[in-house]
Amino acid sequence: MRVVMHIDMDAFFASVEEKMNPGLKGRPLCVGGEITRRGVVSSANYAARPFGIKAGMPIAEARRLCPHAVFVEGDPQKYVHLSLQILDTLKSFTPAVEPFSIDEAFLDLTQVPYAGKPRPEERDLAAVVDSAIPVARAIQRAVMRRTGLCATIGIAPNKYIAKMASGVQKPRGLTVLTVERYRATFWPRGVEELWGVGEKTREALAALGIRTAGQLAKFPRELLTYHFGLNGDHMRSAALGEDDSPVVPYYEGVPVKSMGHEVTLPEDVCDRDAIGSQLLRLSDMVGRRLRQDGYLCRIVAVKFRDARFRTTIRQRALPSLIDGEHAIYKTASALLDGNWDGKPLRLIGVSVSGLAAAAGLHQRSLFEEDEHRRKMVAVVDSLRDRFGDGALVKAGVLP
Amino acid sequence: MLHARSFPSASDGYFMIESIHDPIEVITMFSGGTIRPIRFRWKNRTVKIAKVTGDWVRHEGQNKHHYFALLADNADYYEICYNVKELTWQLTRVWMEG
Repeated sequence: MRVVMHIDMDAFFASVEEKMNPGLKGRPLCVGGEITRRGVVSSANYAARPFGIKAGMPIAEARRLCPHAVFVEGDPQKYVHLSLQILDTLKSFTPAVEPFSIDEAFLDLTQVPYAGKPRPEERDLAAVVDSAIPVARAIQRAVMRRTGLCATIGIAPNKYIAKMASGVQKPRGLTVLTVERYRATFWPRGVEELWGVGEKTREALAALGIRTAGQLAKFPRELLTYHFGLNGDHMRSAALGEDDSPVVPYYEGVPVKSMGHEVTLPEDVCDRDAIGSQLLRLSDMVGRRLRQDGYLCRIVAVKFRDARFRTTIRQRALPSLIDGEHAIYKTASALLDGNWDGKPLRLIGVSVSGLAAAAGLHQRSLFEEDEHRRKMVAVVDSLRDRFGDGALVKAGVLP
Repeated sequence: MLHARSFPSASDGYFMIESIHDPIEVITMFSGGTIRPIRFRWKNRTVKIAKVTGDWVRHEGQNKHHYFALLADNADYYEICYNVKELTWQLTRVWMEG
């Protein structure tokens, strides 16, 4: 019987801005990547939410809903700093802490002795997870003391239910769910309330007559697998509240599956050269990150969104593993040209996946040109390591 | 020099936030491995710092930029930045009631 917690910081970016600038408290506040009419809301505080503002919404729409809201441009370094302080606080309770995102983490308290914890042979599963409530309260107090920020916590026998539990009651919430309580709470609700079920999946499930989490849980596994592949099995397990995935402690490192960058353009663009320039800049950023983190990639994807918010994502597997921005850019360009109808774009992104650790995998190229390029990239990386990423930029990126 | 980006609705008069990159002079206490700004001079006026509400670091290559979130004694909010390599201070963000 495991005891797993999911810690979710309440309106994290907005709360950090409120903490640093108390004059913002109580006012509707939106933090965005770029506070122009074209950016999107990254985080909205609880005073903004009654107006219908939520993360992911275009700034322009948030402005329409709440013209007197305060809009602040986000500062990732500021949030990372606070995130590390939170991680440090969580580590004082157990080393089994898995950072899940900048404002979320899983904790495994199964091996942690604490006052009131039932003996291992305890059969009352509800008593076991309930016994962690005082620990969760202590974590909330410790995070508040260290950072001045509020956290919501879900406690459950596995990661999936813990994540679902933390969404039940916010902010400053604390929800304990056993498998039975999870089913009683979520089975009557729509499948879209399950973590990992998006709008398209909801529609696809509805086509099979599956509308609630309970219906999904009771649907034949074989049929789900037939329609959704491996994901069908995962969805059914999620609906049942079954999850045996371990909490991977921070010191073991969580394997990176993909990395990418995207940008909302200052205005809609249909000029291929201008879009190509952005693709080059993004490919450069992705390649740099790959090399910094010691990875090679096999799959390159391009994402673009047109003025009507229609998003297209296309990817291509490469014959060999790469980490150079030139190859990433060439692939992303080809994917764009093969799938873009020439209509104005408002967002463009490049990402890579199929990652493998670079150590020992680099092979000497058969082609002299590639070898020259690799040496040049190594020199550019070393200069950027010393002087910063802005020290050298590609000419094709300049306006 | 004010690169001034007035954020949307600043003209509503309800609030004002500006991103600024003005060089400033700062009276600072360096003690026990920490940096504590005390007051700074900007546009010919002296701003007395009532409280440091946060700090963080941004790396640029091997250089470090120490950022501080500050409340002035009149409750205006500022963010200032210390460039370790250049030994210079910059005002980066201001929030004051409109």
